[in-house]
Amino acid sequence: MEVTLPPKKPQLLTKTTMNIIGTITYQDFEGGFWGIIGDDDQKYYPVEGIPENLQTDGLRVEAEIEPTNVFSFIMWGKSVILLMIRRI
Amino acid sequence: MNLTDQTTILAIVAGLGIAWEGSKATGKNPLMILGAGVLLIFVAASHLFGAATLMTSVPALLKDLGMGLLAGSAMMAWRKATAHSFLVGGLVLIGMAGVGYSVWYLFQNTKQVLLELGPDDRITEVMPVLVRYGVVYERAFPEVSLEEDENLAQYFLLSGTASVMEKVMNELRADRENVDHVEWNSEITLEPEVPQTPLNQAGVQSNDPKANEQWALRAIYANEAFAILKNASPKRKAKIAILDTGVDSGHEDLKSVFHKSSGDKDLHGHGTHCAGIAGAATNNGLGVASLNWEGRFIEIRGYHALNGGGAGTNESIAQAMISAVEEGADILSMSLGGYSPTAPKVIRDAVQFALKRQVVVIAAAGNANDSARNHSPANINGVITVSAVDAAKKKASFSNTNNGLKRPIAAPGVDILSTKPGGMYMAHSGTSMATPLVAGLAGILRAFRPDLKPDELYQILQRTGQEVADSGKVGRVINAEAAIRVVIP
Repeated sequence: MEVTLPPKKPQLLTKTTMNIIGTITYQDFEGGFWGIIGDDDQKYYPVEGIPENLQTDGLRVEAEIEPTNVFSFIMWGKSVILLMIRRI
Repeated sequence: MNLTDQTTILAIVAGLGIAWEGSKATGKNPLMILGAGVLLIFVAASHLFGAATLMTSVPALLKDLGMGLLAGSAMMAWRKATAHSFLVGGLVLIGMAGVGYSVWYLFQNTKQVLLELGPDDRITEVMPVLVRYGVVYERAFPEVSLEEDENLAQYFLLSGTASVMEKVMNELRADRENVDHVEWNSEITLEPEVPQTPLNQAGVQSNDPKANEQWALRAIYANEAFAILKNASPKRKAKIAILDTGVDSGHEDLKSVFHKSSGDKDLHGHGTHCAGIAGAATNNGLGVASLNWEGRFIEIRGYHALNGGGAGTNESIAQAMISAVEEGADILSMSLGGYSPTAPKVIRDAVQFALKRQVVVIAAAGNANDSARNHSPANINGVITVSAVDAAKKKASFSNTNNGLKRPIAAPGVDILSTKPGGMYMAHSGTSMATPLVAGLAGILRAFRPDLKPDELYQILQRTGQEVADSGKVGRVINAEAAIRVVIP
């Protein structure tokens, strides 16, 4: 299943998109949130969340992401905008 | 008449009976001797089987026997017989009873203290204090070697009379070079929990109903700090700016300490949680406690650096910093950030803007179990970078380290109870929670010493902080009592 997400606000975007493969993970600090640990060992925090139907700890996914320069209170890994994400 | 009185009378009767028969030259009555013997056996049995402990029953028995012999010696003397052996025996037994009671008294009044030395320190380094007060010591956990656990291996159990142990603790606490921690060796019982009970003899517990659930306050010696703050007057209230998702200014535990500012509504809940940690009204009979005793020391202000989703742009964060500084903030508490080995220039400039105006900037180290050197604004020069520790004062598993940065410090950041919008309370974990705890202490210092420059203030936090096993990774854990003592006139 592929989830294509709507275009994001341009001021949040930088110019580089990336494709990553990784694993969905739930972290229970800062009130709890979902992130992706890439196979490159990097942590990616989708600032606008992960689609509900993919919120499963340990789920393997492939995603197209856009790094952003936003800061947040999550402070976990690299903040990214999800452009596409699908289960693999 | 209690047991001891009755047995004393019986022993005296027995002593008189034996002396009466012993003083007869002829015609001694064996039944009288036998009766006295039975009485003495009854006295001994009453003491040895009827008392709770041998430490009190043996001296009591010796005293009764001694009284019996003394009474007997009087009878012998009255009968013109030789009373010498009865007299000497009675005095010896009463003397032995006196020694026994003294030992018991000392034992009853012995108090124990747990002392933790630093990883490289030896008990000989604190020996002058122990010798001066007649304190005996032993390894608390002799089965644990330094290689196995450098904390537990350095614990010593000190025993001494109650009257001197308080002084011993104070002297040891002052020895920051060798001593990591000193605390009473409290007995833990399964009695029902009694709320509002002081947790430390030297401390004061607030009447906030949830204070007993706030382990973090105990970990930073807040109760001991309250003992100072309750009788102290600040020069003025310190203004702590919470740069976050806003603050629920109407929350029951915040409304009395909140000062009008743009972020008076919380778009998420995170900012309200941080605000409660930094300065919830304390000893007001409501909710949680912070260091803000009776709300007399800290004023909370809120600024929207982050949106309702918890994210903020460089601009929104810098704008919130500038607004807070221009409106007179003493402390900026920033539980926010992101991966950014090189900090955005606008945030660096905003930090400099604050520092030039002597505003203290405190930021979270981040939650990626990484180095805060890769995390902004924690990695900006001049910022106090806060890592989180757990209840064992170990680095929280998620916390970034802050070693290598200029101003590292640590505070509790796991299961931290605080305010939640809508008059509720909730526990959260994160370096976000550790940061306002440091901001709250920084605010108290500023309230007493408004002239303290950011670096001077950090030096107090650092110098008075608790050296813990992970201090090499996360800095020292703040110690509210010790830090406040530095600025109290």
